[in-house]
Amino acid sequence: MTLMPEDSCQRLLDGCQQIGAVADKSVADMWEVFAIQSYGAEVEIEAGKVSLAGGGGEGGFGLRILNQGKVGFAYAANSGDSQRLVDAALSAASLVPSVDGFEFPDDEGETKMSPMWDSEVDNTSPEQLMLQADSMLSTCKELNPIAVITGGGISTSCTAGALLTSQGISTSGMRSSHGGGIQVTIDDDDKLTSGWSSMQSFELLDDLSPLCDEAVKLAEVTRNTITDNDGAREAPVLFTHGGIRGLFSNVFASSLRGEKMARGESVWSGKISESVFDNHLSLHDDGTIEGGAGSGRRDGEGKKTQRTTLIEKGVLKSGIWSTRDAAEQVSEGNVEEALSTSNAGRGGHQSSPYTSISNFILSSSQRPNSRDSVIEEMEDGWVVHSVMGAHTANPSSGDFSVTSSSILKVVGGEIIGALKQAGVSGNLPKSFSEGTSLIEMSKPRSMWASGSVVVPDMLLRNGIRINPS
Amino acid sequence: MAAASSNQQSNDGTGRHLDQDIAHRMVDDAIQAGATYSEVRLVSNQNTSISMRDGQVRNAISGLDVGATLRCLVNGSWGVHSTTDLQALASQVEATVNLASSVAQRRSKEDSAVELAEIPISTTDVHWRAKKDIRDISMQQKVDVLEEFDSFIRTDERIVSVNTGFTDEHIEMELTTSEGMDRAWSFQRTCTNAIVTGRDYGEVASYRTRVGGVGGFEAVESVDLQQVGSSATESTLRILGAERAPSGKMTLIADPDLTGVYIHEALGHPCEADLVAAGDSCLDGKLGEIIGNPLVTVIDDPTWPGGHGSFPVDAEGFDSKSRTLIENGRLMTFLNHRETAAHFEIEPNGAARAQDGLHHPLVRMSNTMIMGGNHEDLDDLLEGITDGVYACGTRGGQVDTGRGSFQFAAQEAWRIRNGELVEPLKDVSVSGMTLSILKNVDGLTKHAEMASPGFCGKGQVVPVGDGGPAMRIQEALVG
Repeated sequence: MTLMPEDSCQRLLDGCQQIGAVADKSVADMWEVFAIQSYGAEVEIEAGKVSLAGGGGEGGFGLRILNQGKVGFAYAANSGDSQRLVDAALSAASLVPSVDGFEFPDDEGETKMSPMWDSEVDNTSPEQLMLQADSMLSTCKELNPIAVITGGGISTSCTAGALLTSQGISTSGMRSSHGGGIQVTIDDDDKLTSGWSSMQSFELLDDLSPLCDEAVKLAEVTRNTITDNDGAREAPVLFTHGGIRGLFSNVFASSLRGEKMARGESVWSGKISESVFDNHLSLHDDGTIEGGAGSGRRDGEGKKTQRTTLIEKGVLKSGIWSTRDAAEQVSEGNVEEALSTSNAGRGGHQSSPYTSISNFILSSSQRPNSRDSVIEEMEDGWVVHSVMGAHTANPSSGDFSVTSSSILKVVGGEIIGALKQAGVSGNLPKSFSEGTSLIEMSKPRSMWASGSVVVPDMLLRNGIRINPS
Repeated sequence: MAAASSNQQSNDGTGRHLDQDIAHRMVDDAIQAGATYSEVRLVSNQNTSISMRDGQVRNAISGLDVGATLRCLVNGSWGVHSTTDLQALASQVEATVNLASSVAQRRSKEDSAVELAEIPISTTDVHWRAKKDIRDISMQQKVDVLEEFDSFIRTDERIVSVNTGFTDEHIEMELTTSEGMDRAWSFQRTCTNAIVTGRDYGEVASYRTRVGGVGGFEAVESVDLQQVGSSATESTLRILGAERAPSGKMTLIADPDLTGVYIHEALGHPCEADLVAAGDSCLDGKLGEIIGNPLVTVIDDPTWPGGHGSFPVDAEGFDSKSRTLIENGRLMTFLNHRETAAHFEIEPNGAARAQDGLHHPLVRMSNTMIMGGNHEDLDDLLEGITDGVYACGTRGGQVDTGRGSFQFAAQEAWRIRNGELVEPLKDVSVSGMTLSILKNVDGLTKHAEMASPGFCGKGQVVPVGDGGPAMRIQEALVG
């Protein structure tokens, strides 16, 4: 038995047609109907055992209309009450000011891309997920007899989506997802440490043991803590990708939104063509990568996905834009010119399109260093595997002050032990402006497994302050 | 300001979304198929969301979300099925029982089976009536609130952008169980918020504020938005000129906002019995022990009038009530639901909450507060501090419940020198270990208050309230 009914895409398109037909008869100048239907299965692990299994489904329709330059949005669980949906969107539009020059995108085709669909995921039963969970529980025990998976789980989901617009866009497709995440604790002599790991793919993941390896290793490496009485100081810090990804995403995904740059809300407002990163670093947003977590043939407004250079060899080139944001900022006179970079995202059928990253890819023109050579080269410094509070970083200024309980001390080019806890603070744009080295990925995972922010482990030499507890 | 009060109950139903005959048949069928307990829980959320940028409406969205979850306990293990397709739910009974049965079959002899603590079986509906039902308020009236709020904030040319938002929800819940529980309850929640960005000579700063809670339109209308807006502007401008915070161990005074986040992160989460049972709490085995300064008394109260985390009935049908977690430094109980109350053999206290109808209940906080202490006011707390930090507002926090380590960040702060607030600071964060820092609390002002509405993520996002008095902590790790 499969999760997804065979005719899902067609049924969604039929529903879109039904709503679109009503919108056509109304006074709406333009309309777009987005529909989504998801089915999933999950297995939860708690206290070292499978604790729950479940499944379910959800979906609905979202309608955006444009009427005399005014945008309105409404959503519903089904297409049965199309007139109410259209009326609600028109009513919402009456409250919104008109945006000169704003039109929904025409159909300009779509990126050629392999389907992000694996029928094996669709065919996976909850029983098979439970077998995978059993295997993970066993693997963790084998790696460390006192390691316990205290929380987490495995899930599959299959999603059908459709977009139909008055401008000629008619598209639909399906996407599958399989992944897991676990927290492992090791509690020995009343000294408890934890490790985490997660991975996800559109393909069926036959082997989830890398999750166990990573989580158990992290829990083990932070045992036998040492003390540091030298007080707070700046020092080189090697962040693993798990240690930096949250901060990087929270600060830079926001700073690079074109609308925020145009309105003075970004630390990089007014800095196009200026140097903002170390001169060997480049940052791209790329929705066209095969298998990328944020990849697709089109963005949330139906525009063909693209690769956008945001920072090239340290120089700020562009922000990310959706069609609406671009038109609004030009209309308001905040920028002379702006065009969509195909960065309209959707948070489901309940959400109007908004500007968001697809896949953020950080790269260097320098040859990546090995982790061991970087640790040796830094002589005295720190290795940070994870931080707490990345979401509390200030996306406007880039300032952050977070905490790590997964921090290792490096002395004389060697890791000598872990601290129980330390504060980690600084200004992220400043730390990326010089003294950075990217580290080669020792075990590259699929793009998808890395999430939509793809950053390698890296050394930041500039302006990171460590405050040992 | 609040409508959320157990005194405002009434029994006049609002009508059910689920056909009750079908709901009863589902839970009966599950028992016939082998379940020892089954329930159907539905949540309907009729909501409005308005966003405004620099005084111009960007989005005004009204919607209705309905979801339902069938939960079956078979041989001491859970199976669930959640859906927005209410018609299809009845067809999932057998499959859900089979799922639970599969989970039960792989439980080892050492692992205990899930049991449920007994709670009163109620068929009483509870509806917290709003003074101004949000369903009777036009979209334009809600927009007017935001326009006014915006005008109170954009009063200085250094304020370069103001993003405001208004949200309201009319929430209806229904629960039918195989034990005979059959009830519906409802309440409303209304909030407004602002994100203010200031810019001056290349420096950029932002400040966030949110007001409101459980209640109808009055939850926002009764708030002095001019004062809230002006205060947000002043804070943004002050942060623009502030110095970065010092790093090190020092005396910290937290305002009620930050005190609330502190107690939520540092104590509230480790007190959640599902985490304790999973071996992921530093409070495991410490029930009845002294874990904090005798000054410290902490409650979690879902009946708090107007609290953002208030609710009349928990997700398992238990009438909400206040719980004392710490009394004079002693750990009194864990927040629990029926499963964990049975596991720890403690009294059920109704802390089961789910994000919506598509999620199953977890143990969650509601409105968590440290009660007031003996110090008259902030000046009283400041006395005698030669060097420290006074931190206000919150940017959020996070906790590792197992290790007992936590972090939370303030929006703005001041350096304290010789008992006086001197230069403003920015980017202050505080971290520590739950079991040591609770003992380092050595001063609380008499007046405690519920602070800004917040949200808590634990796989599922739920609204919460928290607060307390101004609190002094010795040896806090700052920066």
